[in-house]
Amino acid sequence: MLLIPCPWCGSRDEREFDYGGQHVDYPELNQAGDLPQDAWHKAVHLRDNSRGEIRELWYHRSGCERWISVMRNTLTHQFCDTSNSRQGEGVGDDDAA
Amino acid sequence: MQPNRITKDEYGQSIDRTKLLTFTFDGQKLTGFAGDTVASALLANNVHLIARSIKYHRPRGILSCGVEEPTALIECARPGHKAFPNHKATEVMLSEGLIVKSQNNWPSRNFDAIAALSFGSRLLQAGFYYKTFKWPLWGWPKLYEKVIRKFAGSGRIRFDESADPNESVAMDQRNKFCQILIIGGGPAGLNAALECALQGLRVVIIEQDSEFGGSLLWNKASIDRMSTDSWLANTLDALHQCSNLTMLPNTLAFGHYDHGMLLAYQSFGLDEPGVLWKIRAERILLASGAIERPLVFSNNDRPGIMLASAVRAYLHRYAVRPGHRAVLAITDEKQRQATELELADAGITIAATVNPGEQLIDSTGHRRIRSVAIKTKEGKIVHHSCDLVCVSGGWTPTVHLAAHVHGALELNPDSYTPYAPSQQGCMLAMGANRGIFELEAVLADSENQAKEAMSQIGISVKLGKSVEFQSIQESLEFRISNDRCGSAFVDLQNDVTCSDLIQAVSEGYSDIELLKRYTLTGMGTDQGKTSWVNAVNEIAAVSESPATQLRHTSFRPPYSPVLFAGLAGARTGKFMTPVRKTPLHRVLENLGCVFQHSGDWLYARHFPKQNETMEESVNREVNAVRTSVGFVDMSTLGKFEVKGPGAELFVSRLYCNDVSQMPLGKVRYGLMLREDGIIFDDGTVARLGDEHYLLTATTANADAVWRWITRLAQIQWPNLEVTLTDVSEQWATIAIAGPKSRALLSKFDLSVNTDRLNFPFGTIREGTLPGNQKCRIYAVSYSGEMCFEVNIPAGFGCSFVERLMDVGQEFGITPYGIEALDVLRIEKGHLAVGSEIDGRTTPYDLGLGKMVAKDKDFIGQTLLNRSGLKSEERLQLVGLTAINEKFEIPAGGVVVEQPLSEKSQQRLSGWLTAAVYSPTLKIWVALALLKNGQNRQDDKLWVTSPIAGQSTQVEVCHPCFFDTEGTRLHG
Repeated sequence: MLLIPCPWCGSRDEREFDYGGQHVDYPELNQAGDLPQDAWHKAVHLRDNSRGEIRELWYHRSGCERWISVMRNTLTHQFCDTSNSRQGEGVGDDDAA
Repeated sequence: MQPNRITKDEYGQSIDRTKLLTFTFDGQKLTGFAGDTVASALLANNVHLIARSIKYHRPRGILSCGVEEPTALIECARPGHKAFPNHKATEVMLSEGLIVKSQNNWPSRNFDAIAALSFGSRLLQAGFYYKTFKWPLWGWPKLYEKVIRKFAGSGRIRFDESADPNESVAMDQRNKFCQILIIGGGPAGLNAALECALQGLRVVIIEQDSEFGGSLLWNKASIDRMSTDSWLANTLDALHQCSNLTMLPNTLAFGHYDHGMLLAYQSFGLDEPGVLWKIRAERILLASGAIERPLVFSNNDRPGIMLASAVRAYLHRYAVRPGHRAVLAITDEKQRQATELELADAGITIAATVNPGEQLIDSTGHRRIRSVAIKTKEGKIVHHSCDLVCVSGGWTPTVHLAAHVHGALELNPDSYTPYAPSQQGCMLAMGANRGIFELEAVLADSENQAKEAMSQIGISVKLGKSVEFQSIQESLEFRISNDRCGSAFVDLQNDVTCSDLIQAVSEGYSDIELLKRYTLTGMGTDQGKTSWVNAVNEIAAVSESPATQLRHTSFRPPYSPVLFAGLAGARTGKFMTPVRKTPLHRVLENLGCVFQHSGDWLYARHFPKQNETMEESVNREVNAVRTSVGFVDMSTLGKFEVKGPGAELFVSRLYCNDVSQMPLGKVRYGLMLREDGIIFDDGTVARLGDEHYLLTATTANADAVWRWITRLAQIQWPNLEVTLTDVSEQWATIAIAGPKSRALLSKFDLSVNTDRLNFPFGTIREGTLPGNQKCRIYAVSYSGEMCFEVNIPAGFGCSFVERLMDVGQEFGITPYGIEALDVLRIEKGHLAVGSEIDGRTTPYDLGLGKMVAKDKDFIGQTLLNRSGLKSEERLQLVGLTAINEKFEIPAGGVVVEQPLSEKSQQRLSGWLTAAVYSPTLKIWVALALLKNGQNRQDDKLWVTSPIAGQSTQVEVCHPCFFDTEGTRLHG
């Protein structure tokens, strides 16, 4: 049972969250033709399945209702970067330690 | 009365001699005291033979005094309650009238017919079943299994006639948070608890036994020139004064999970509801101590052969003298001396002591130990008569919890005992868990580790020096001669002998995980707590590889068996999931509604009048909507507001059809795709203001759509300025449908102009209810009739419906449910999530290709253009009508080219998504996904249901069966 560092609420139990999968950058909308179709295919269907750190999304359903983007080590479950950085928003208070 | 009970007062600290309890064992009436376990009470009555073993039905007694007990398994019931098997006699607290029965014997435990097998025990060696019963092929299901089942397993579940069959105990589950969690209430745990509690931290200490004290309850030594008894009393006194400390006795910590999560089960006695604790701690201190190991020698399983520490515990805690003439075989010198002294003090004669260099090699006795054979240093074999043997081959640290989370344990290279690393994640081990057994060293170590844990969570404490310690003496003389292996038991619970292990290794099962499963070593209710280290040393000796290379098997929760009822907690029966009721529930109930569970929701299904069948009431409800007016509860729809400068673009990207440049008050149908071009959901888009939209989503997808749009707004397009608000539960939604719906609506003073010109189909109007409550009215339709979906603030829903029934009386207003709604939508060929929108269909498949916008960006656009998704071979939505009006189209059927025949199998051309009798058209109609369906208009096909054994000929048509021009929408 993970303890997930929400940048807005602090460390909260996994039961408060929905898992959002790996944080993927999707291509821009409206790009017809073969090349972008390939890019969309990769973004939608292919995942790294890494052994180690991945950036992933969690939805804080029973909390602030924010989607958070955090780095987790799939081997140790350590959360290493909780800056929510891909959102381009402020760094949350981190009292996860 | 109790022949083995010591009357002296200095013994028996755990029992209350003023409270005499009676109980029965296999029908024999016995007595014990409050505070006794079943095991101590049986020993007090000089009962040693408790059960028969699982495989050979050998007589077995009580080995230990706690959770590690492998053999004393009993069936227990309180009078008038259900009986459950496989309780450990050492764990069940005695209560008045308790009915205790022995297990695995027939006809009785003193004379057991199956025990004859033990003479042929060589036949039942490891892998016996695998090797013997593999041929002939028919033998297993028809013969062998039936016979073996009778003998297999441990214990039987018995249903007492007098017990209530529906009796169940709802367990409680509680969450707890603390800074320091300590597992184990022995000297290390108590010392650490005091250390942390005095710093003012929130501390929880868990003890599996009913009493705190651990080894101090039987190990009578001294601490700082103080007796252990007074040290314990002083420490407990101090702890009881700390309000920041929670002490949980009778609590089994059984699972350790990531990030400081620990599960523990607190028991309050047989049949009493227990508590499952979910404890999240910043640091966990593991002070779970160690479990003593028995010795492996020939016939080492006779009743009366007990762990030395257990004998001391029965003496001191329960004032029970388990025997009168004892032989001691204890490898550690200090413990041997202490045991010798204590036993002599209690009036037990020491018949012999096995000294270093000597070896215990055999025993005699049938239902109880009678004598042992000791091989002296000179090689002579000496026999000693006795009725008690105290054995100890060393101590195995209880490190299971340290290994539950990515755990790697350290191994003592000499004795193979596993140690917990001093820290792993947020768990710190102390005392015996790290191989420290000397009392003074244990206390110093626990203080150090407690300080270390506190400093890690930001409490400034002065750290002490690390403790130096000596390891205890452990028995390394495991090998016994091969001719005695057959009855030298390594695992007492599973009847695994040394010769089984030797055989398994010789057959190639030398990997520890394979060997465990092949021989059953370490399985069962005790999970090898007393046997595992002995087994591994035996294997190491046989395979001539160092024990440390064998590693250990994975330790997984639970550490010891936990009731399923405890894991389920109160979430059983109707409490399994919460039931969601719509704001109209009360008024619908009064209207005679029959409800139906769907997901979390309780839906209105239909409204039968007296003596009406469901078919009759549904047809009546459909007819009312088609000819007059009806209403249905649509409050379960998802309703989401989108506001802000980016709202228009946001909504436009969300749906694949054109929803841009909508005038204020306009409503459009919206079809939402996933990124891969497959339809996700459908609903409506309404424009309420320049930068203000209101979206609806289907009931089934309400949560998923909300998650999806918040994700898009927050993660995908953070720069698009939109604010999303979920208003689903704020509105009660009542859809008033039918040709007379406009006339009915005009009877209400909603300050909305309801005439056809001002309020046409595809618009939304905001009005006010009496009392100045806002309402929103959609002119949209799912049934195909003119329809107004009135949204009322949830709390006013019931009163509005009551007025609706009053005012609508002159039009014959009819409430209808989900069944009639389904018939109406199928007649119109409208889509439903889960039926046509099944996670595989595209807009092209469902005949909505023309809706897909060409000149805007939307989600799913790129991948929708994949050529495969436009293939003619895909399944496409069609309507099917029965050729003969009398024929029923079987629901759940498949579409084939020829009628059902037993001789030939046919390729499927498609399947039904919905089939109903249409009361409007007086014929069976169905919607189906049919291969290349859009080009098969007027073809005659068959719908068959092999399960119902039914075939019906059908004709392919457009999926809209009724009012194809849609004129009825406008009224």
